[in-house]
Amino acid sequence: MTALALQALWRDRWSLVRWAVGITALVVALSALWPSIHSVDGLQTMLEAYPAALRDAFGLDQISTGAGYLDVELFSIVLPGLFSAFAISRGARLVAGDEESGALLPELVVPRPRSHLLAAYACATCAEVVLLGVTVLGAVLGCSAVLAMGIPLGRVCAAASSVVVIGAAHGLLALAVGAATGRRALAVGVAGAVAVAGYLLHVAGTLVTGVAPWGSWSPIHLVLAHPGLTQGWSATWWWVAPFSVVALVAGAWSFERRDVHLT
Amino acid sequence: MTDRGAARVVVRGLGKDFGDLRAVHDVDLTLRSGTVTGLVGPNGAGKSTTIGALVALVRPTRGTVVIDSHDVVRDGARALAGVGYLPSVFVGRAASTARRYLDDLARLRRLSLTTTIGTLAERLRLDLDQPIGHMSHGTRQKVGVVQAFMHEPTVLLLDEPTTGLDPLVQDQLWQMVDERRDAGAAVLLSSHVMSEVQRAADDVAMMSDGLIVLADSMLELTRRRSTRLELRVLSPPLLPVLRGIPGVRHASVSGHQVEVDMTGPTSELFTVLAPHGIESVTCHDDDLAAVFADLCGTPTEREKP
Repeated sequence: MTALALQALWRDRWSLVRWAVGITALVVALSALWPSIHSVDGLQTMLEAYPAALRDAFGLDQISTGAGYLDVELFSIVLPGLFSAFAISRGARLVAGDEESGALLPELVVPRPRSHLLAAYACATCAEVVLLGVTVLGAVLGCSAVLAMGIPLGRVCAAASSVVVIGAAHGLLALAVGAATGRRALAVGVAGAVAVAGYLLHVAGTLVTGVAPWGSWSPIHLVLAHPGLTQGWSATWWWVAPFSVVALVAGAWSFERRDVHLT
Repeated sequence: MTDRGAARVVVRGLGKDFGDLRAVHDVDLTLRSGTVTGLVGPNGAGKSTTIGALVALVRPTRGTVVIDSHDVVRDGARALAGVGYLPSVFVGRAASTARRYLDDLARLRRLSLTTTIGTLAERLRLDLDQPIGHMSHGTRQKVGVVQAFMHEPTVLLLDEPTTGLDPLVQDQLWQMVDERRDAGAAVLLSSHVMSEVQRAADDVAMMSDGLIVLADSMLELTRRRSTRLELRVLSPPLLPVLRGIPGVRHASVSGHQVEVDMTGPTSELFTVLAPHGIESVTCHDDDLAAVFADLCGTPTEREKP
């Protein structure tokens, strides 16, 4: 299984490098704006005039601090969105994309159950997202040191982990749907819809009291309700794991029993 | 080692439906050790679906497929241990070199096959260090052939194997097929190029509309195929005499020209015609395509107006 996962990682190495470079550039560009934002007079007073629900929803309370600024600018929507997009594209391609192209056929006619392949590809998807998370960790730590943002190492680790959890959850869902159906577009569509719906539920749950109890059904809410950069690690993030496990088990069950496209 | 002629793959009552479409129905097929079986039929006959069911890519709606005593649905991992499979469209991994791709596939089988891969690549004149994404269709097909043969399979399933291969490489492929057969492998060769099957197969199964319409040995088919003779004689014979010769299916006389369609030995025909002064003889043997056309009710190229 390790060999299979490493093979998948090796095939994706250049794409991963491109994503890592792009995300590092984004972190550096947004962090570079921090000194000018920090020096705006009366920013905190202005933000305090906003409705409390709005401040909560978008984490505006601490925007005048380095951690609060990066939390709003990077970790509340941009990085969760990018990590989800990256992981969904990987997860959807690893079984469904390869099946549609015909590349998967010889790899399924081997003395191994298909669920081994799926488990290895799940590991590869998680590993790719973790590697991207390590890139974010390095970029934020570097920017924090250079621009004197004063963010502790533990908080940066927690924030990077939070986007890894969000990305992995959506990537594994795309992988599971792809394995269950063999259709890449469907895998991207379902996982993308879950990500968007999860984010909307998170925002709506913060703004509207009646929707709040439903927030725990959103993987994004489970993570973003406790932002790592300002609040540190949270055990509620790991409640995302059962979503992924259920999706993968269902995907594996269907993958073992369905027809594979012969192209 | 399995006895030559022993059943390696046993297909019984195989059926596959896609919604309302019955793609394959009631297929019975046995692939024997040391035997090449040709699976022929037009496009859409169900050949690829049948092979897909043999390698567990397609789940049968009805029936069973057993390879080396293991049911491919219930015990796929064991059943596929000795199987080599070349799909009708081989794609591979565009970003990998052929060497890396083939090594990766060998690792999936928990084998190290570097030497065998090198030998096969040399035979097929394949550059292993070229990325698969940069290869022509024919060169990619060579990678497909190597991956099907590299672990010395005891069951070899080849779906349209010569697609895109030049004649020299095709010759190598047929030699490799013969070697696997001689080593005791059961080989299934699917093709709609009848001459390929005629050259390589010991047994033939013909498919049409999802059914096997004929399964027999190539020897028996050859024996049953008809011969068409065109003769020029000095004096015309009587038509009823010609039609009375055993094996004659059709006879006509037009002036000094005699045409006879017959199966089996032709010696009695020549005995009857000898007194009429035979000036010339032209003989046409029906090939596998004619047998298939006869079974499926479609005209051969020769019979088309």
